[in-house]
Amino acid sequence: MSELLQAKQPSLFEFARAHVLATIFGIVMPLAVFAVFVGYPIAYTVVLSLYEWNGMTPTKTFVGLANYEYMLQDRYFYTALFNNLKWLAVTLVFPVCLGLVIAYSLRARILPFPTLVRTVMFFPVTMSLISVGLMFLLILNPLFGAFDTLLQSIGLGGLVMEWFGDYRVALYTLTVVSGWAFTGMPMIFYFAGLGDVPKDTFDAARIEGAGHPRMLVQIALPQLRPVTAVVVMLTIFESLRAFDLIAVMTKGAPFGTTNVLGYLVYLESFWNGRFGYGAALSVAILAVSVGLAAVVTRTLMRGAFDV
Amino acid sequence: MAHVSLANIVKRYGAHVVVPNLDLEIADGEFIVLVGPSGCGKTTTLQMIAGLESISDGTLRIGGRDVTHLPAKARDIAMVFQSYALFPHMTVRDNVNFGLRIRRTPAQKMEHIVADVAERLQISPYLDRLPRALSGGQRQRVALARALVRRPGVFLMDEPLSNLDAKLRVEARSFLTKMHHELGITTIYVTHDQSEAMTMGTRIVVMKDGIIQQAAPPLEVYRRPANKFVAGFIGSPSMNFLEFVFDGAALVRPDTAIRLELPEAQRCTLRAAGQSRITLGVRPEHLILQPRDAPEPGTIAFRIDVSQHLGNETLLDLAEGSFRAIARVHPEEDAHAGESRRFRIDMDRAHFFDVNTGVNLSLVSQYSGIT
Repeated sequence: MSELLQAKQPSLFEFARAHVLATIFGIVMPLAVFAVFVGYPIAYTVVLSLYEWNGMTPTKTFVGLANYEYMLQDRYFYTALFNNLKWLAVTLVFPVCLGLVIAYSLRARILPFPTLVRTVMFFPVTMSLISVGLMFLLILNPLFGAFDTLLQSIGLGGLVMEWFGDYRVALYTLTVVSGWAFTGMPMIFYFAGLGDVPKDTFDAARIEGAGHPRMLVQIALPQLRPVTAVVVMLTIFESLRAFDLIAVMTKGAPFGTTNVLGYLVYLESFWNGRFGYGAALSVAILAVSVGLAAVVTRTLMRGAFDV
Repeated sequence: MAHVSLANIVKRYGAHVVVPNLDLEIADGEFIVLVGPSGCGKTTTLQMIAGLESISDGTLRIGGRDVTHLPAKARDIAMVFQSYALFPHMTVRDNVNFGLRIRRTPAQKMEHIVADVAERLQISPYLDRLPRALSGGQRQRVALARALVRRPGVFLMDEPLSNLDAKLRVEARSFLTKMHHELGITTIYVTHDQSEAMTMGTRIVVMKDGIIQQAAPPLEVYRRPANKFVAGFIGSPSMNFLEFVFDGAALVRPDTAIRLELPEAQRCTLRAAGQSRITLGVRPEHLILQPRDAPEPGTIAFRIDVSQHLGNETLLDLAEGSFRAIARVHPEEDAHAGESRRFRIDMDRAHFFDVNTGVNLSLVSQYSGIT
């Protein structure tokens, strides 16, 4: 039986000979592009992480795993890593949940002017994070910022604080700004996903007595697992790649408390001239990303398409 | 159990009126079937009763309470959907007790209710399965169980049998009817299948363009259709419609030699209606095949185009000039496609419809006390 099955399955070479164009344009060229633009940089980064190099001189010194050993003892690395994880946690709670709630509210026609809301919510996604950072620097400016003025004008002046200067809140300020710019992304994914959830299941839940919160949590969300998996995956990558806002808004200050791995790579490579160590930090980002993506694949993705 | 009253119900989508003005009284414990072609407003009406669609105008009462603007959950109703609408990520048990959990029913009581309903609907072995592991018939019973556990005042069913195969559909039909007899819950059932309507409902409501054409027990709708639309919609095969001129004594076709003498009562009916052109409606079983040597007067010669042998009966597709008709004859009858045979119309059971309005003239004159 297995021989029969094997006989039916053409080998790669047989397939390539039978479908020359499909092989060239569908397999070889995409693989080549992937190898040049993704595979090579990753491989080069891994190789570079085994060297000590200041980025100026042509010679690199092979140091083996020394960069990694240093990294494991570097407290800035741990601060940055934990900041990335905090960033991820806030992003999963704030923009992802908010995106889901807005998408549900749009589908359930709870919010007025759905097209306008959708456009307004998605607009920040199209903005450069550099401009977002500059804009919020002005809005949150402690001297003339609109946000503090607003709080004071509505009698909540007591809440005003150094949004970027206070080490206890600076990172969260950044994540909220990032969330503002990111919310439209999960919203649009969930909005599309909710279109595929059978309307009858919501109607049935309504008749059984479910309100909107229960329908969102018990009916919609479980049926949106594939979408959630994609959104969580994107959020992980987005959070671990965080760089632009830090570079524009805090530059890691105060006292390195808003440093994240992406910014640390930049600092070590371009300011401290330690490209090898920067590469090792990049490999760490890659490893954490792959690890978290694997967790998502094994948990959220498993069986998500069976229903 | 509850009495349902729809008074001057209107449904508009912007300027488009789907249900212009609907009045219907449904008695406590009644099994009402809303039937009609696609787009006739039957599902919209059901959804308005369910609270899934808002009511643009009018008053809806369930069990004497004005529920016009109440949310679905406050209406004491349960609904079975065409797609069953089971929650795919929940087990059968969680699907069935979903409403009970929302109402914070004590766990022990809930378990007892679910076990009882599952036993009644023969789904006990599947309680821990997911819906995707069930067959269509089993899913349908789970949907019924979910609706039943709360013992609602009104049961709403939106074409719940249309996804089942023919054999299961017949079984489910009698199962639902039996269940209704046992529980006596007021049931409003929507279908486009007239055989479901005929067999299940204590009363049929035939709808077209959002307007009730007739609301009456099934046999009355079949035997005394209010108009040509109802006559054509209820009954399979449909009623035959043949246009004639009434000359004061008989029905004639000026371009042919066909002349059908009418009994005195029916002459009076047509005279009272004051119509010269009428549409004659004849059920297929009332076109009676005549022996080959039968006398010509009072009969119509038809060419048999197709003969459909169904085992228990034979359907003959007939043609005579522009006339087209179907006759239902005994399976042993010796009639073959291609031959020309004479048919007599059972005039006592024929209907006369106004050519313009489609109104059944026999009923109009009866109600006005002329015959």
